[in-house]
Amino acid sequence: MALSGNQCLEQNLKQLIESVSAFVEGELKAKAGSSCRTEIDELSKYLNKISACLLPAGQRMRVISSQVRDGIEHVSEVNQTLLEVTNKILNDTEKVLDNHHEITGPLEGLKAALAAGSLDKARMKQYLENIESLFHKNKIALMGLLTALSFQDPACQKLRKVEGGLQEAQTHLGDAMVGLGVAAKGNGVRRYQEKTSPTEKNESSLKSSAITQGEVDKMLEQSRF
Amino acid sequence: MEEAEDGQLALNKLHQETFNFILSDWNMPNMSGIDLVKAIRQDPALKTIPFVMLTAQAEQKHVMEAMQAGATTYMIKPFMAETLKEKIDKIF
Repeated sequence: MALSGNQCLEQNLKQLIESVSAFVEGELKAKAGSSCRTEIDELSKYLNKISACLLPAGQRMRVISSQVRDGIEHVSEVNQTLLEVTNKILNDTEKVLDNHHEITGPLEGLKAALAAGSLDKARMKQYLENIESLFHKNKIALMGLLTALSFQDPACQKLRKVEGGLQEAQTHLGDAMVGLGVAAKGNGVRRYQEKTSPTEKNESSLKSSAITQGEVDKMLEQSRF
Repeated sequence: MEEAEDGQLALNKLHQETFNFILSDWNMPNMSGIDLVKAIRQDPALKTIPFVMLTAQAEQKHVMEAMQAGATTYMIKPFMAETLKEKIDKIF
């Protein structure tokens, strides 16, 4: 059965609409795909950029973490030393005071005996020997105090190392902040100048490898052969 | 016995008077102990004077550095007076 003119037109229009729809749909799909690809490319470049910032920042964080760990170890050692030395100083000071009180006994005895005119050579000798012995004990206690007080030098050395380590960590932190875009270079990012003496410049590591006098003596003996 | 506040003053005194031995700290202003011992060992008039390095630098590399610079012996702080006396007696 043949289609009428109107039916033909209608069919043609339908087909045209379908074709145009298909065409438009196809075009849109192609455009969307292209747009997505572009967006993904941009995202990929951005992620690479971030990764390039994060990697050195991550390395700096590792260094900082290690510096902080070593610093804590040094501070802990200084704390321990301070505790031990303070106890020693208190003990030795107490000994000196005790000896001081003890000396007054023989001294008073000597004075009384002199005043009474009842001092013979033997008694005088005994009093003087007692006093001499107490002075000697005091000397030992005072030497002990002197030795204990010299803890300040090694303690200062360790604290100086901690200071240097913290300064280094601060510098790394600053660089990491700039790298991550958290701070602009030179704006709130402080780099510390090293204040170490020329003899300490080589001591960049906070790691403690202290040796004892016995080990030093062994090294000295070996170096002589 | 004479004292000097830093390595440079110590060197000046060494040029003015005769000394049997030197007891020196490591960390000093103007001239450190390590620089002092190097200067002494390079001076024909002073190079034979025994040099005792007293320091809180208690690491192997410091001992090596002091010995290579010319220190006769090395003592770590804090130390007992008797130990220092023994060291000095050993030198002489």
